[in-house]
Amino acid sequence: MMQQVGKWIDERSGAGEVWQKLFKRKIPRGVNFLYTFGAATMFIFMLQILTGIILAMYYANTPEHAYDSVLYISNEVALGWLVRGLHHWGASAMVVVVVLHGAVVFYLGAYRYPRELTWVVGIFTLLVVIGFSFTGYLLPWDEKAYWATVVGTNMAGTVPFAGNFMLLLLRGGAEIGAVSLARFYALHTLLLPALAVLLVGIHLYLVVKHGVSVPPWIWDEDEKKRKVVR
Amino acid sequence: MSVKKGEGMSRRSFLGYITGAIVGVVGAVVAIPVVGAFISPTLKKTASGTWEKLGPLSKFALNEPRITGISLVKKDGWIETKTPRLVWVIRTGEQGFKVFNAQCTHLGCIVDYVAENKTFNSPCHGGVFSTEDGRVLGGPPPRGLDTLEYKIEDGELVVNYQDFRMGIPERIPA
Repeated sequence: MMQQVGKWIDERSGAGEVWQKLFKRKIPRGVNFLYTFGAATMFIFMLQILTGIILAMYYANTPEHAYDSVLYISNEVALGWLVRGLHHWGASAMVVVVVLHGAVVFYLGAYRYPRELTWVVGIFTLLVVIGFSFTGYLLPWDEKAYWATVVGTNMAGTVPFAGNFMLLLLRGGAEIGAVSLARFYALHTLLLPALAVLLVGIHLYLVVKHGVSVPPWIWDEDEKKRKVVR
Repeated sequence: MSVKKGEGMSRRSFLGYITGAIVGVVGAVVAIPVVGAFISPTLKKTASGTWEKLGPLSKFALNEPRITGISLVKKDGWIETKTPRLVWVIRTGEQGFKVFNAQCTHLGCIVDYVAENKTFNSPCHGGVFSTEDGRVLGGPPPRGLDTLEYKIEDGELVVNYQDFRMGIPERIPA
């Protein structure tokens, strides 16, 4: 039955070709566990989106109610504590996995021609991940959230020339308050997700286009056999 | 364990099934809290009735229907709010009362008392209720006015206020 539905859709959209290119693409010999971090990042990202959507259904982004709404999620929403927990720990997992992914790509030289653009897009995506962490941290509106944001935005303020401008831009004013919270919430749930989806989409397209790079231990081997495969 | 070439499923299909199974398990583990939290409001227990004071017995004259207001403290998610509610009270004796939830059981409009016919009439869609026992005399309401439990404490009339689901014949707490 699923076959027939798949066939119907494919005849009218050509989706089968996308499936082929994405899931039936060839990867080089000799890839190991280090090559899984990209997909792991994707998985955590999807998890953050799903749990984030649920949290957004119960969260109130105003100073009067933010903390109470977070307590409501943790204590009264069915399995809310688990959704919040997954999102909290998922955020840390995301940073760990994305850094590992970048480190592996760097260490194995997979950023070299023709994959330079993939690397650059990846770095922008890393910045977006950091943006998510920073904006999300303020949302529970507890002491830790508030003071971490005061300190973080003060750091931005120390930059010569543009510092004060950036501080005012981030805080939505001179102080951290209702405007800051609303601003951070809009960034965290609207702007950053849109940017992330765009960048990840481009990044994935480029990865599929160029294929996974040949591991260095394979080209060493091939070179020994006088075959040059890069 | 050996499988002759050509018999049973290929290694590729087997790995495909295993991958599918693992994806299924991981998907279910992720889906459970996400779906659970999403449908959470449908799983909530309905609030039980609360005892609210209506006023001193002297406020209610014999056989004279009187509409009285109370202020319910409700939890709106993480916010506590005060919501107004109304009841119709008819004194039948020294200590006897009939207390009705003033909402028409059709769609919740507050019913008026029509003295000429001695009925409660809903201003919205023509529902008519008897003042005797709240039963439906005409119009679309699916059941009579909801009677509420009451008691007399220290010379005050106290009602066990509760809301019921609208538009259905069964009397189910909302």
